[in-house]
Amino acid sequence: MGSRDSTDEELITRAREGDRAAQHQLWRFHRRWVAAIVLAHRPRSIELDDLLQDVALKFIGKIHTLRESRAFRPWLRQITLNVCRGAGRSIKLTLRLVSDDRRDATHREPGSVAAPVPATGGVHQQLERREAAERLLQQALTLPIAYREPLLLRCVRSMSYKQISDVLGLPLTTVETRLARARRMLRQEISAAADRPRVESAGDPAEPR
Amino acid sequence: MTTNMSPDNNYASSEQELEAERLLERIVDSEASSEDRARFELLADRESLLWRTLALRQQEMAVLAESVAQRIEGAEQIDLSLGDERRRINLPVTLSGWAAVVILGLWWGLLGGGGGEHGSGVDGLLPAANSGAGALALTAQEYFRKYLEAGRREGLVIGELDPILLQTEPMSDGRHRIRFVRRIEEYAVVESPPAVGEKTETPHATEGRQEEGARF
Repeated sequence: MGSRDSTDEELITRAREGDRAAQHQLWRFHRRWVAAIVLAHRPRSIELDDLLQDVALKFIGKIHTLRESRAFRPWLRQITLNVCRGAGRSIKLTLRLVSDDRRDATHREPGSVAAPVPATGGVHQQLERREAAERLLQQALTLPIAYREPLLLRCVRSMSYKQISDVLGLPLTTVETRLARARRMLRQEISAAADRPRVESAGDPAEPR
Repeated sequence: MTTNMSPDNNYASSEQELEAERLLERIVDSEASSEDRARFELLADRESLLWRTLALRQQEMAVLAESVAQRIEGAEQIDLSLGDERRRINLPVTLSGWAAVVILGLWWGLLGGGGGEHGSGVDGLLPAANSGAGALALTAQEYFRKYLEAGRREGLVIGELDPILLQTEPMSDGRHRIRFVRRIEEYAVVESPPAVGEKTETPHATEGRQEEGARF
């Protein structure tokens, strides 16, 4: 077990005992991958930050109920899933301080394609790259959840196969397989999208044929 | 997607492709062992396209990771800001909705709002009505404090328990609007008992606490 896992173990124990500083530290260590889980599961109309705030509240309210420290990651994941599912059923969490409907007719969030800006040279290329990146993410978010979740977790820096396996409660080989399949599906989607009439970006990660 | 493999390899093409795929994935994810890397280099020596495939996949993953990072960067701002103010109180049973309705009814009544919402069958709960000319000049918090004071004088209100935070919303001026539940521990005389479980160890609110409101 690495030094980070040992630190985690210690923090989790103290957090379970009510140590506020440990709870804060533990949350800071893990909030990014929790955010990736929220991103994978959240209802489209609800802000990620809102759900993440709810997860944080539930985390601090329930950490004392965690029976075993080693079950921390799947436990926290389950809390996250419950929050996301609850948000899908409840209207309370949709009462966000926005006045516009953030879903357009195609159920894509505004901002998924950058607003046209008169730009030249590097700025234009940056915008194209950003658009391509956003399209890639949007396509990743359409993958089946069994593949979407490990893929997004993998995108969180320093999330190893082992840690993803701990969070999802899956064998290492399954994590590896699902990641491979997720990326294969994504490449197929990108290829299919590239075949559709659109303005191609020089930065698109096109698949070699 | 498959990589092009020359037909005169020692291994079956599909097996080599599968192996190459597995090695590519591991290298992209920085999970490859030194043996994996050595094996990949060997395969790439025979099929140079593998290097380009690797580069493209790493780029693809980097782009996706960057996109995800931008989407979740707000996570860095989500901290446990509740601190010690939110203490959890173990109640073996949650007060049923009737108590909340009564409290809400009192609130409305004190504010001069709608009446008739105090729940039937509750006797002796309402404090002396203070609906005189100056009543509406008080703020809600002042009414609430007066309610607690009056309730304590009458032996009905024991005290206020820690509130429960439900939701926070950032505001444009940098402050936050919070939604929370107030909880008041008190006695009431009723004609028939509500359907709640039997209380065993009910923590009592500390008397003498007269905070302005929720403590966060």
